[in-house]
Amino acid sequence: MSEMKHPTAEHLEEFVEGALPVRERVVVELHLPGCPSCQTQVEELRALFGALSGLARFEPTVGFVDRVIVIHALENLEEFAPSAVFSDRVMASVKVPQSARQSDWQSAWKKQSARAGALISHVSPKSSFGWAMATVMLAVPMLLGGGTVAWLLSRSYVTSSGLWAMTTNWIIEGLQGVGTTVVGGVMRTDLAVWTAANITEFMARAGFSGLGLVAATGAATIMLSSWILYKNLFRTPSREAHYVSYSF
Amino acid sequence: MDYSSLTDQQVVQLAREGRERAFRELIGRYQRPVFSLIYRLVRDREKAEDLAQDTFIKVLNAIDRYDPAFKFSSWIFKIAHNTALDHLRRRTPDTLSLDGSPHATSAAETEATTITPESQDENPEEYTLNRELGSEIETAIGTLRVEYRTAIILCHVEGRPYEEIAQIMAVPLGTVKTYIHRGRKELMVALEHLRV
Repeated sequence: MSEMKHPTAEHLEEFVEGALPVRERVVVELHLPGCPSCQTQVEELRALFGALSGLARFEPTVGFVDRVIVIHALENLEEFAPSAVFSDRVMASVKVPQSARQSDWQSAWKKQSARAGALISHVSPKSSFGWAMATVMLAVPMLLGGGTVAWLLSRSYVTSSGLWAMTTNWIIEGLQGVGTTVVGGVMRTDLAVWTAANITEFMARAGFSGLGLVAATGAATIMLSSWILYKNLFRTPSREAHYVSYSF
Repeated sequence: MDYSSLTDQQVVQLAREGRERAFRELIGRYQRPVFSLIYRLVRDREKAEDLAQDTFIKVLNAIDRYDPAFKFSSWIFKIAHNTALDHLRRRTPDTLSLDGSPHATSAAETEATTITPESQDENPEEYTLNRELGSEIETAIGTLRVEYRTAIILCHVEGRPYEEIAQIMAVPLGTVKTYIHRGRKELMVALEHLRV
């Protein structure tokens, strides 16, 4: 083989590694004796291979195996589940502090106040002109009503007691009309009128004590309704919610 | 039972049954090759030991998912290699130098970012590094690109065939051959001054 046909560097590496096929290996073996350059390369490769194969394997510090085993065991510790009623037992023994309850109530109150504020803000006039118009809308009926009453009382044929009697009669008849309209959907109209008339008669006969009884019953009904609303709408019933909200 | 006489696959099978002795056998067989590979890649003994530990924990945790169609050695070297690479990628680049930061805009900043060696004595870590990786050949290996270094170590120190190295490094066979060829070439240039 002439010097112009040197084996490639890869071929020489494979030759030194012993990975070259027999035929190519023979070609390189025949080339080497007449080529000092390739001989040098082969020697250098052999020296490098020898140095590399002589490299030591390093040892980790003593106890490496034990450490790995322990860490692996710790990472894979089994988790034990408590009984099904565990969480109920824990929550049953949790006492929610009074201060926490109060802050809960206060936050609910603040929230509802903010909602009411937003609603009021939504329906309130947004400009001075708007406020002026709203004032006029309220003031005009009052002025008209007041003016009318004053004009009527200034007449000689109108007395204050007569005006009162007439007005209350109108109001009672009006209430009867409202009752007929509201109840009429489920009751016969004549029955609704009869009921409204009886209620009116009752009020007339019973006087203040009867009215007080009705007012007390109404007030109690409103308070009970408010309490039910507060318990069901403003308060979070679950204990878990308390646990999340308060840090003990 | 004599675990040392069993093949890797047999020991793995016992490890899958949760036998601690099988775990110990696997770690014992591969602790030196794995630690050596990682140590030569990260060149920090303490960090290499942490990473080797992480490697074995990963292996033991995933032993049920190991596919026996592949050689166990390929699998464990692949995990070790990936663990070391992850560390090298995460590592903050060195920003201090003996000459001060190149980004310093004033003499004061240059001085503040300059390292002044107070003593020429080796600290224990430097002593260990110099003793273990301080030889000419180890120093030369340390200058190689990580890809070349991995391929050279697996080929010459661990005696792994090219096909297995390709599996471990997740690159084509031709790429492995290129890495090894270029690595050898760079090593020969780096060690040229030693030739008489």
